[in-house]
Amino acid sequence: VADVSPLAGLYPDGVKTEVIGDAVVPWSFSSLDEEHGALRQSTGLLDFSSLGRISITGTGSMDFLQSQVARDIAYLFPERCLTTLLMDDDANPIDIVVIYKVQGGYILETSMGRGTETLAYLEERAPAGVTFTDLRSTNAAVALEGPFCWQLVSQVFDPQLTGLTYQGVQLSEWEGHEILVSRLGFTGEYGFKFDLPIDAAQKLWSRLAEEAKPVGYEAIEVAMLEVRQPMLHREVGADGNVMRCGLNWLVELEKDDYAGREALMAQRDAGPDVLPVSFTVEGNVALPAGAKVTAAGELEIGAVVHSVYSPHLSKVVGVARVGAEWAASGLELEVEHATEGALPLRTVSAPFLIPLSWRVPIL
Amino acid sequence: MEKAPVAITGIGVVCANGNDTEEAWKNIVAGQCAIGDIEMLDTLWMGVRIAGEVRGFEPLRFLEPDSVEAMVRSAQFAIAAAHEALDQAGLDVASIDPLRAGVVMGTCQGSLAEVRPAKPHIIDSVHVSCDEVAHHFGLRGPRTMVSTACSAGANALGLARDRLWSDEADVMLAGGCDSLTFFSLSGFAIMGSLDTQACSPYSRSEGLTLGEGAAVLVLEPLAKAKARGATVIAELLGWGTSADAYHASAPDPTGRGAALAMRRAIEQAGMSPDDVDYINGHGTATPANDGMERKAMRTTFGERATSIPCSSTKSMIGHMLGAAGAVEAAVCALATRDDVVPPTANFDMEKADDFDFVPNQAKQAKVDVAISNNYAFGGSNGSVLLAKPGKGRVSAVDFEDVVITGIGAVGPLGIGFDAWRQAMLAGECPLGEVTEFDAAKYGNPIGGQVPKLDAKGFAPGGAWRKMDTLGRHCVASSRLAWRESGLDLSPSAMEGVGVIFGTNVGSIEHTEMFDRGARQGATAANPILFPNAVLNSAAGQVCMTLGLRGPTVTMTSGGVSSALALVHAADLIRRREADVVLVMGADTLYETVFGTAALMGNLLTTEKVRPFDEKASGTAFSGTAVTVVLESASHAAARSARTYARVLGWGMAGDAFDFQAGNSSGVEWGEAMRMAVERSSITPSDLGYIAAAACGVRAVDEVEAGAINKVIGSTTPVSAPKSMAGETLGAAGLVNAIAAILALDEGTIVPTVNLDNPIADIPLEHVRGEPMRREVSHALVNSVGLGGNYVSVVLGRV
Repeated sequence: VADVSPLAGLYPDGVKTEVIGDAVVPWSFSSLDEEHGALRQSTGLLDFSSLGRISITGTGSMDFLQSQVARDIAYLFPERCLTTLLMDDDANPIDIVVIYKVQGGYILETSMGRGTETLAYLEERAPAGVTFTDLRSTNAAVALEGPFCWQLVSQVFDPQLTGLTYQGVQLSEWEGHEILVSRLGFTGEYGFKFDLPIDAAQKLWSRLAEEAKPVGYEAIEVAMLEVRQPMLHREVGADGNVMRCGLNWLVELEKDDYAGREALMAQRDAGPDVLPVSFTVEGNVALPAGAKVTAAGELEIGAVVHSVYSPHLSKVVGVARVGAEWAASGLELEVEHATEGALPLRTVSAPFLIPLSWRVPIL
Repeated sequence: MEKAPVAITGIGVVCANGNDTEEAWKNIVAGQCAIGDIEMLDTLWMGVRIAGEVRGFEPLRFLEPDSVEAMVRSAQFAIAAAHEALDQAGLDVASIDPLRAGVVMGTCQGSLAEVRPAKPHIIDSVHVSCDEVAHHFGLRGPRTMVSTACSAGANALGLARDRLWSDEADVMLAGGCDSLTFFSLSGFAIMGSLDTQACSPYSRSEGLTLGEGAAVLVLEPLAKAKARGATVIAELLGWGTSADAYHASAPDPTGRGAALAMRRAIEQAGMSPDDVDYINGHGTATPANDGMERKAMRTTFGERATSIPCSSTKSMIGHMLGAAGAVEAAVCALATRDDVVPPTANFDMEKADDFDFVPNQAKQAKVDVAISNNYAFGGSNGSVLLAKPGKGRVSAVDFEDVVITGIGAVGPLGIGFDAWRQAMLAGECPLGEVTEFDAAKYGNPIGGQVPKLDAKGFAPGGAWRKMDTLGRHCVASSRLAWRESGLDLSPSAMEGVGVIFGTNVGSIEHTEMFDRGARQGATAANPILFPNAVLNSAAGQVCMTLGLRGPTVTMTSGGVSSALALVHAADLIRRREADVVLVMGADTLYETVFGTAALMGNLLTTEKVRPFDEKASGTAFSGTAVTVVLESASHAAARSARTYARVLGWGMAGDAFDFQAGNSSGVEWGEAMRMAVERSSITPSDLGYIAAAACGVRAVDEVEAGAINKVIGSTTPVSAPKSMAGETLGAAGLVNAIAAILALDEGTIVPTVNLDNPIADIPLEHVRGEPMRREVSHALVNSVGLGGNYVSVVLGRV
């Protein structure tokens, strides 16, 4: 049974929803063009209640979390968060998570739609004395994302929040409600996420919707792919491991002892068989996962993992997994299309575009 | 204790706008920009030819030709300014009790970067100007050098004020001094921070212009100043510091750290932001600073931010670095005296916004209360609040008890408190052959080396790579102490956690690396090294890695630095201005320091460190970083924290002899111990242990032994932790504190090792060879610095 967002009642008419994992998410509010445009050129308003948020407390919380995640959390302090990977003992990715240090413990934020499964996974592995609380029953998360979203942040919230550094976290206040503000960004643009009690989140959504365009997950996923922000539910699948999915940047091999590390080292030593590669295809065609990628007309070298049409670039952008020897940019390959036969596919270096935020300073 | 206004009764200034206060003030009010072509240095490759250089300076008015020859320029400025300040205060130094008169000076680099033709020592370089002032005027009271880069001058005033608040002195000289150096010019030039024209703060904002000079203020308790009929120019009411915890050189763009410092200064004075009539801004004219300051003013003063006049004195005399805070506080004092707001020169009216930056022309305005702001590399902010005489308020302070709740140490004795504890109780001596560099060319003196640390467990790899050795040792020791203390605080509580640091030469590694490169020209100067080349950089790294924004100051008074840091941290907690403060002391085993000491002949041993021994043949330098967590007793009790000891009273004194030898009579050292005991409300017989500063240099050890014998007696157990840990300079006070903690907490006194023939004619109860079991209720921690500076602190059992 999928969770409906506590903000769903506030969505504008005409919203289309989809299910991602355990969450019913707003897929689109208006059109992909408009919503994607808001993310890339102005300010988008996002309902991130689909991200699971789990409070982890108890004296053993640090040691437990440290034993599970693939980056060192020893240096976190209450104003910093960290994105890392949760793996099982065989180094299969379980979730991409963000860890926040709070007084008395941690908050672990899951990928979209992963709240229930990741919580159950952690609960099963945790020793006695580590307590988990699913914060979705009390809190919701609203986010602003886009190259100029900071203007709205300074207008609505404490203007000092615009000074948060990337991965910075601050406890702040909005109309008397305590809010946990983090600066991350899923699309390569500036992003501010606000975690607050449900009733306050509802008020905040309405307030922000006066100025910012609500953006659905269709546009979010396009924008995430454009900058190769990993999407667990689209990109990992049954045969995806850390190297095959290009998730290496979320793990620290120098860190000792965490779930999956040994298996990961073995994978590394064995070398990758298959690697991800970014590609573009001209036009607006559907290339579903599994579409075959071939070289020199004949040789099957891999398959599409995920692709979308980028309104910004007016072409299809995507990720394929190919034999390791083919994982290079600048190759002219082909991809099999259901009706049009083989289409030319070009491998490229990600990101597919340079977000405007990289050139716009926060003033 | 009372938080009471402190009187400013004399001001001395040497700057580009004049070599005395009234001339400089007249020109500053006139908006005269004294920035011009640099004459003293060749700056050809830097592309910048201008600075606020001091002209027509006549040191021979105050100093003998020999002294001028031997003294660095910054110290000459300081002495000239001090002469003027004392004259104006109507104080005859000969009539003051020398033990009740002290000096606190601020500097950016000290003379590390200055040329010292007659005294090529590096060991005392940072604090030499402070020692020279004390020496010149015969001041034997508390003496502190503070080096928090560009906020040092402001912090010197605050630290001097503290000595008056706690009745440790009747008169304090306080200020800052720095001279133009190739080092600072090339550093700022290579970072692209220098404007090619005279700087234009708050308008064009295209970079800063350096300056030089000194300012010294005479501070006295208001009641005492009035009692002797002195004219009170202004009152010093409040001082606040904070850490940005943001970046090594750039300010936090939100102005959060800057606003915290202002707020702390205003709160300490018992005032509100609404009371402030004039702001002397940091106003460096870098775009980062000028933008940040506007935000900090909006945060602090709200709607009034744009209507309070705010000006930058640096627009006329350049950025005097360690002296800036002092000269700008002097400007604030004079603004309150004359009810005039000095202007910001070089102001481009086309860039004016809604703030009142007093463009180009001074204006008459009632100035009852003024605040002077300074912000430095390492994210070290300092603000001082001054007011017209009669504006200050008195508030009683109910002292809070101060306890130690965490210890972290990194050095030859081990990594972590537990390793140190075991090594010290076992009487281990890890001092030996130096292999980190070629010690043979210095005759192979022994030393103490720190095992190579990697980032693991201490800091994220990316941050670790940017740190120099000192920064890494400090980050490691502070992480260990923090972890050991078990602190887990809310973000708002973290904002109040302080970091007070003591070091002898700080990040000399990057300082020298940068300087060596810069001397080869623009292409060899590495801008990445320059931000770390300030004495307080390691404290800044600690604030960044732990996320701390509380009060922060760095003391650079040689071997007493960390004892001074301990004192200041305890002051903050007992006055209830902080609940948790990290006290850190550190220096590295660094070749240049080691080499110069070796060349002096009798300082370093090639054999063994034998403190208090008839056959002592010298000491051994050792790289060490120690951090202790100080906490208010109530805060510690509320979280049921493990407490190791209490911090009780302290005493400080200095003598005024040559750089190496102290006063052989031991009068001043004894006075420091006597005061520490008296201020702990105990008698010498209550002391169960003395952690002596003796280091194996006979001349020093004898003085201490004599002073202990006279002041404390010959039956109190004494040992010298330096026999194991070596001479750790900036860390020495805290190394001895660890020994005292072991005595208090475990009832075990660590031994002096290698002590075979104790100095025969000075009987002391030496603990040697083996540890001694004994219940100890109070322990005395001694420390000594080159130049004759003594700080003693009493720790008590919980």
